[in-house]
Amino acid sequence: MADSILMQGSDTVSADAARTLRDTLFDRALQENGPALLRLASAYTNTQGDRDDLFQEIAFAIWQALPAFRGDSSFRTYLFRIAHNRGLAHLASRKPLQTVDEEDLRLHDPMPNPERRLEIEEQRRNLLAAVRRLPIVYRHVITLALEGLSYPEIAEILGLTEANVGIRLNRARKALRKMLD
Amino acid sequence: MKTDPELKTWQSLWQADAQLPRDLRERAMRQVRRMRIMLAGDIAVTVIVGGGATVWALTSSQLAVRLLAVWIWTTILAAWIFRYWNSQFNNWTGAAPSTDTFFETWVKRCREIRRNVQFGFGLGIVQLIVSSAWVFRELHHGHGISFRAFVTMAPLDFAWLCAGLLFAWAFRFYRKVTLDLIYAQRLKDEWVTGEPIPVFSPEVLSPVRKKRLLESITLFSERLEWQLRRKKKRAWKL
Repeated sequence: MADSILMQGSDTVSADAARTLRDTLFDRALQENGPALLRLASAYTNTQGDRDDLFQEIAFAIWQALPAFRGDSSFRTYLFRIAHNRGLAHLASRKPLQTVDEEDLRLHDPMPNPERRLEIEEQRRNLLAAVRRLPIVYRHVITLALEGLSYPEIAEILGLTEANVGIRLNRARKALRKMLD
Repeated sequence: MKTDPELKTWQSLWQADAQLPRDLRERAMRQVRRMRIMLAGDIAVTVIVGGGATVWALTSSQLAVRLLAVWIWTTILAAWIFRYWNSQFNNWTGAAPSTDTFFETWVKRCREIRRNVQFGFGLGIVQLIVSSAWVFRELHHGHGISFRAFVTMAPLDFAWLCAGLLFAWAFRFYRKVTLDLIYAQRLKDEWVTGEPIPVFSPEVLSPVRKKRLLESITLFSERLEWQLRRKKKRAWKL
């Protein structure tokens, strides 16, 4: 739906309407995919402050790239592609991921059962820490797989063949399993 | 994609945090609004500085003021033309169709920024020299101020200090972009092969290797500084 709206916006409507449309789409992109983009940002950063900074960079890159969207791919894969690229660029200007900020590993969802919540928090903390330790070539693929994206979608986002995605994902999972064990 | 219990468990853990803090979303929206204003900054500088120089030249009967306005417009035009020319080599977009393409555009962008800084640095030095010479000429002819008195004038020293700080910042920024460029090129190699490069990847860099890498960078920069000093000495002798 977002695709067709944006295409209309860039082709036929006036500049003012296109601007409003851009803002609406941007707002919707954050509303619908914000949590996923934030999780993705946390895979490339090691503190909450850094994660928030990267999220802002991603959000801004999305806003800048919205007019270029022509609906060749789905809106979601488009957003993920931007987010991953920004994540890579962000890595260049940051220190190596060594320490982990406990605060950003905490779940924001209040769960009825505190014990269960703590358990999940602990497991998630381990998973995120392990993902952060993965080399970039594997981290890229695994974060998308963890978001539930299919092979063709991952291949489209990263510009790889599906076979290559499979190979990298297998290696990533092997490394992840080793770290979690 | 085949789903298996292990991946499903990881996915549910990974996606357990399903909320975007409200303040973060608002911050992103605010940044977009701020950037809209900043995009108009270059045009504002052109209008204020160029327009100010034009108004001054039109209201003044002195030839020197008119020449100064011509000089200011020349530098503004040079900056815009260079910027336009340089931007042709950069098709930076956050939404590159593939990671390979993204690396290429990233490298191009770094090179473009480096060229911009180099040009800005050169233009800044020329601007500083010409402006200082113009101010000295005005003060010398108008008030009979000697060169020594001119050089020790507090406002001028302050202006030079500010320019020096700006150049230092530009140099630091240039170094950062150069490091980004090296990083992007190495990361591209890593991406193409699909194998992490152990010596380089910060995540797998051992403390010993990291220390060695830092030592070699320090050694390289010291050597570079020494060579620059030697060149300077030779230039002075000549």
